[in-house]
Amino acid sequence: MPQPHPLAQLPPVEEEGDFYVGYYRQAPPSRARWVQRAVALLGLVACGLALLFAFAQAPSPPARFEASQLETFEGTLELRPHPTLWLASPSPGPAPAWSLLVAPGKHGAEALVAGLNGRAIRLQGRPIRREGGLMIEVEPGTVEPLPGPAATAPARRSLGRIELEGEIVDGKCYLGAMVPGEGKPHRGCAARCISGGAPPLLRVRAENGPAFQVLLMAEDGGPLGPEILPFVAEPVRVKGTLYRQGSRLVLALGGAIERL
Amino acid sequence: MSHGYKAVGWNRQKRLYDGVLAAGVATYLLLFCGGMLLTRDTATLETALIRDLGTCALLLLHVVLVVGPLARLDRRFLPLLYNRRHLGVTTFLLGLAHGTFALVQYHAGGNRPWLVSLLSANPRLGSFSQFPFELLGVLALLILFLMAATSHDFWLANLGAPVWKALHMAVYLAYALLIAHVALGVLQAETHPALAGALVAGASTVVGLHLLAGWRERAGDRPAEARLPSSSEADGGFLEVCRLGEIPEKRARIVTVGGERVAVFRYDGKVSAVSNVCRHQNGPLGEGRIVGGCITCPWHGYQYLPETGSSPPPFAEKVPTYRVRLEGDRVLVHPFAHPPGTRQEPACSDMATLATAPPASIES
Amino acid sequence: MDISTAQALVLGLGLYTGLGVLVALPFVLRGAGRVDPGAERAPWSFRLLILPGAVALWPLVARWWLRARRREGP
Repeated sequence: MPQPHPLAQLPPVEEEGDFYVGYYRQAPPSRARWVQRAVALLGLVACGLALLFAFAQAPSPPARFEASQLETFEGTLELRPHPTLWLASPSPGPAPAWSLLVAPGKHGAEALVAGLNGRAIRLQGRPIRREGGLMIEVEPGTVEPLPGPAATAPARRSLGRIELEGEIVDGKCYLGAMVPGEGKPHRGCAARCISGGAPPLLRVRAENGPAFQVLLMAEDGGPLGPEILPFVAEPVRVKGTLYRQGSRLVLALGGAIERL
Repeated sequence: MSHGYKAVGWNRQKRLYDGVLAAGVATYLLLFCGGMLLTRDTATLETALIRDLGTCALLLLHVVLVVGPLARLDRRFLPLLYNRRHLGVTTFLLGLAHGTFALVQYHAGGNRPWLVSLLSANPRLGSFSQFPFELLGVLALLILFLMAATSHDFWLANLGAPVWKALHMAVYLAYALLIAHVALGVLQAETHPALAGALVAGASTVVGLHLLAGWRERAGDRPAEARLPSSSEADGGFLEVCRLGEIPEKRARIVTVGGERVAVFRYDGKVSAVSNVCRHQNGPLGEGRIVGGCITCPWHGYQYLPETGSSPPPFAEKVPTYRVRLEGDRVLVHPFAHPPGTRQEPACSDMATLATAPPASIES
Repeated sequence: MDISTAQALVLGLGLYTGLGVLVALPFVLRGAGRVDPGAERAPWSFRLLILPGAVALWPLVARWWLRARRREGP
């Protein structure tokens, strides 16, 4: 003889009035109480999880995009490998003497400052800052050449061949346009920004001491091409000649990028 | 029920359900965003929103997935099942918002169309840790969209229950894709063990409750089927399924006959048997009750007359019916499933049988 | 995936969705009622609600509609 289905007996105690029909106005009181308790518990768990997820994420890096601050900057423009403004009047203190330039969106600033290499210029833009470093998102239409002679950009001094390990990031997001602007979740954006002309940086995590960034360029001193896109946002080893130019480091890639 | 569709068949319980749901979602979103922005002075609203919406959608998907097995394990959870489709649609909408924000944040304003960038920006299809996790999210969102878009009873009626059910079983594929989306995505950067731990705990809960409910249900089916072919119990093709006294008044016993689950109802001195599977969403009719003379499904309250297996007019749902006989207090069911809506004479118990086989006390 | 595959996919999705809208709009306004009598006098909110599904499943929906027309005659 087939056995009665065990689920037909669950729960063992069920009063006649406990049958729940959703389109009835009132749920049976005992059912309503049970559901209220279950939902309250679920709500508490959800609130706890919301706070856990919020607090358990890594601390945000000290990077910031002052999107509402349009400031004026002056300096000497260097176009290659990526537009850089060597600032004419650095404010006192630890302010940087140079700033990479980018355009709004996921684009480099080449088109906004084309033809002005080596000239003194004035432009308006929004500062992007990370750990004392500065990048400017140039406001289109505000770039103007200044009369008179321009100061020359510092020369590059070779520090020799070197091998470095780190992550290729797009300068704009990493320096503060997005927080966090690095790592796996940001990979697609990094590829998009670099392919659009944002300067690629190698974020080197030193064994002892803080991470530092190196601007990447091609061996001929120009920007790198799309060949680096498959290597962004993951651990890589790169080889090349390291240069010091003023207070910044630039690496001319020589040889293939290796995945770690 | 499928008589003159409405957008939503609102009633008080659904309003309550949706009100609590909306309040819960809003509280979660505020707590997450607030917690993240207040404890990090450089955190941005964009990133907070993307993560907030994504985690909320995934959490809600867990709720959607555990409500089913919970209600099978303990019927007191059934009211949570009643409006589960609104949970599902809300999950999709949160996922859509998460995906849209992420698409705009990471792929808009560049040198390629957004969607092309989304699909092609990470070419590492051959890698595990670097796999383009976005594609997994896109696929899951497509599945959730199809489910949300076809959640109205119009689609259930016109696609047919088997196709509709199969389509909605794809939620498990979507769930697996989303677990991989999170594990290969944000967890590659956010390495706090509590986050990975929460994902593992969530997946274990979903899998564990399904296994438990499935095991409980199979444990009920197996002995019945194993004992079925015994010819000594066959009686003109009829099979003895239980004693009359084992069926509580206005309720049913679920028995397995010929490999199918059959609900044998006892009401007003009569016994009728219909398929255990509700036409609406395959709800277990045998766990329902006779309410107002009709078998009433415990999931959404769909109703059928016990003698004909047909919904009372103007509704048109029908379930297969079975012939029933009473011999003394032995209840016999013929294993042939008659076409949905076929009238069967209910077996009537005489007063003598009733006297010797009072309905099972529900507490027993 | 490479860019040409991605472009082809997005183009395909766009075409499918475009055709879907062309089929789904008249379907939710008229066809749904021919296919399912329950939808004949349904309110606009119902029609709006089934629109996304009709766009997504337009080849199926078109077949239902054609079959209903053939059954009823022209």
